[in-house]
Amino acid sequence: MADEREVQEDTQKDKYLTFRLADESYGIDISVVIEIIGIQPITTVPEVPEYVRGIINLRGKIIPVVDMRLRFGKDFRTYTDRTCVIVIDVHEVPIGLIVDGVAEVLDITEDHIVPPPSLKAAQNRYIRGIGKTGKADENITLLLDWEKLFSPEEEIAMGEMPALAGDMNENGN
Amino acid sequence: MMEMFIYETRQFLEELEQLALASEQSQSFSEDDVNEIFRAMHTIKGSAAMMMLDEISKLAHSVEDIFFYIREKHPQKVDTSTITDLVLNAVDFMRQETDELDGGGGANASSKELRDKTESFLREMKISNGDDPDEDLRKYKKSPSAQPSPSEEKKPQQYYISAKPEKKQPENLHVYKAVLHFEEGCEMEEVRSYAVINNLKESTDELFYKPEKLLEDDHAAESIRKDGLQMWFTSELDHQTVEDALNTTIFMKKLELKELGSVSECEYWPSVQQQAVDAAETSAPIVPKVPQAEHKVKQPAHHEAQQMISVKVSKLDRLMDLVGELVIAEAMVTQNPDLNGLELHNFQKAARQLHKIDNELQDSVMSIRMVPLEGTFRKMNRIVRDMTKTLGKKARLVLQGEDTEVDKNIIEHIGDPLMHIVRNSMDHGIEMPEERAACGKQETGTVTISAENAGGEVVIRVSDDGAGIDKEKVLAKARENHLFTKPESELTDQEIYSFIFAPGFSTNKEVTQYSGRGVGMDVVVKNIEKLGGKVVVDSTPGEGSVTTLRIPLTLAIIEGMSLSVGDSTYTIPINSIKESFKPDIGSVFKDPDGSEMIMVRGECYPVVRLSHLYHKTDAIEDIDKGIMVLAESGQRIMGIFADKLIGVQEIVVKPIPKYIQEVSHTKGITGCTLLGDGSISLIIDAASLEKEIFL
Repeated sequence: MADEREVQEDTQKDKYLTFRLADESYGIDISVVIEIIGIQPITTVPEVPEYVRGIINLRGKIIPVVDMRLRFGKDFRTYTDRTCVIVIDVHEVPIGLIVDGVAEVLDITEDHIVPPPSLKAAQNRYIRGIGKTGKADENITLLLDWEKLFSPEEEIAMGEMPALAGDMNENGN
Repeated sequence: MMEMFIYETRQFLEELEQLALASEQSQSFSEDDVNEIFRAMHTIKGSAAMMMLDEISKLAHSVEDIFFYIREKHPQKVDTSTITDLVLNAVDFMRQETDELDGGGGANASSKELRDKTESFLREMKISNGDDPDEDLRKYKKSPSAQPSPSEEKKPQQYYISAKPEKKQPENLHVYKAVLHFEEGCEMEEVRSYAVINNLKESTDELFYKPEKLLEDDHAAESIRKDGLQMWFTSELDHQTVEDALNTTIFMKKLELKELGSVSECEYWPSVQQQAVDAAETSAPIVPKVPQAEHKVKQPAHHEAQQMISVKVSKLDRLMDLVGELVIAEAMVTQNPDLNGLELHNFQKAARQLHKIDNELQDSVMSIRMVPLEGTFRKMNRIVRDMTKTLGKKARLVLQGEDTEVDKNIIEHIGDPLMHIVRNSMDHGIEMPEERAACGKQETGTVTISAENAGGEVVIRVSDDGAGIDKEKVLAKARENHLFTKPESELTDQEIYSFIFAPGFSTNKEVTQYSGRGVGMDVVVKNIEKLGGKVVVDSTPGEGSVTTLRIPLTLAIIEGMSLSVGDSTYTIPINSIKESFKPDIGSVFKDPDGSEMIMVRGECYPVVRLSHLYHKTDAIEDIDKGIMVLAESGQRIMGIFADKLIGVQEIVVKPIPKYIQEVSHTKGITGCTLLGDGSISLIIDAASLEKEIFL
């Protein structure tokens, strides 16, 4: 068993699923991706941050979905047939990420990844690194730190951000 | 093998405990009880010996002896309560040992003390009933009761085990003599031999062995140790096969297997005449009891093994998910937009059939995981009994709603908490008989455990009619331990009572067998919280206290009424709904703060508009166009206003995803469920909604 898993991990190493969000291209470790589905009917749940769109029924499993555009403070865009939900497994908890569209699976080895500059405007904290792809490293992929993104502390921090909380109330009422 | 043993033994132990407790209550052992206990002990003895657990086996043997005596002699004086104690002590010992085994340890504890106690008790009982304590009952029983003739007595006895005494020896039969020696110090040789004989019986035509009465004769073990187990048998199997079969015996030291020319070469081969006598002897009224009992004991063990299988919960979860998928797929087919406007009689018929099967499949899959609370509740009987004995109190246990079914997962986690709460009630709640009499209460206290499904929760209440919690004492102790989180004057009664759940909290000054360390109630909260539940204590001085456990059902089938609000669907468990009606215009009025209320038959209830509570903008606002549902929680009733009723259906309660729970505090929503068309409905819990709107 252990061997099998190691092999599996090995084949998934350095592989990233890339998706588009507004103008940027993001990447997420393929090993945490469970599946990619089209946008589904979403049941809204009251009293959650706006970026949590609600829950969906994935073959009997109830999975929360997070709009990544809203999560990163971008404008909401109506879902189309190109909108995708990437279901990832965050420490045994499945979460669906709503993204503009899925691009491809890329091999980005460690030596093609540079750390993000530490900026004051803490926006970079969900980026684990910046991957360079293409012949002359001309394509940039932001590699998502999914672990940090969905850690309870981050959620609390997000919930406390006054702008977002205010938004939510306005929308609600 | 070991797992099977543990599983079976546990079943027997449970059975034994219940039997013993029931007998104690009725102050007598019925014949059936005696037989049952004897059988259970006997089986445990046998299987423990096979598993080389001699301490358990020997203990079972000594307890079995008591019941053997009762069964055979029907003594006049039977001290039921002491016997129950002995049985329960033995059960406890064995349970501890099996637990140890289950946990991967070895069961090494010595049962000598218990055994000695049991044996000396049996001796005393024999003496007090005028029987010879040294008389070997097993021998006594063997000789036919009606004055056996001396000639019969002396005749070498053969124990005849083959089922077909008349059968003549066919040509292809081989005759064998086998002598089997066990390793020294392996103990319980007779039981091991019995197992060997039993195995051999199936593949032999005729089989005789010596010592003849393995289980009945107390000297059998000794004789096997000395001369080995000697067997003579005829079989169609060849030498090698027989040898191989015998070689599998556990703890065998030496095997001598010889093929003989004919039956006449055997030293012990009873003539047909002798066989007839023996057969007659064995069928004498009193003798067959043992083989018969043997038979019955063996049966249920095998039976259960086949009727119960243990399945990994993850497999059940997967099955559950698949059924969910199937239901959705079914809806997608039968409500396919392509079918709109088509007249499809046969299709509709087939679809209905499919729907029916789907529903049944769903129900049965869901019911697999559900287990009634009965077993867990019944275990409390034992605790109450033991504590009444040691504390000198009088109490009885009343169970209500024990047939309430909950998920297996819950069953596993509430055993300990329940035990601690019952102990607490017994120790601190129920007063001594004299005190109770002085207060004008019945001397015998009552501890009641009740269970019910309420909304998405199972509610378990443990109540007693004791003295209640001494608020001052709790406060004093809390002060001492610096447990206050806010000024003392602001504490509510509830908050004061809940101090008893703090770790290390005990109002007892001395540590007793049952309490004082302050560990118990702490465990309660921890375990229940693990299940996502809550514990609340309430108490009335002088009248007793109630501990309420509310545990959300992670997987339960409840009946729910679905309501639509705008484009969303909400489900309210049917048992919290009192009535639903279309309100008239003007029946709803507002107070100066803007809170809405409704007057129904002279009673005024608050109104909750789901659309406002959950910020729905597309819902019906006009009061006469929607529907009002009166929901009840505890004593309080509230009106829930929604757009329209969708219908009543059985729903599976699923927990709200953990992620959502982390990011929000959803008001009044305890779970969600899938509707037939695959859409999700949120389950509204009246109890938590009540907390939102009432003070």
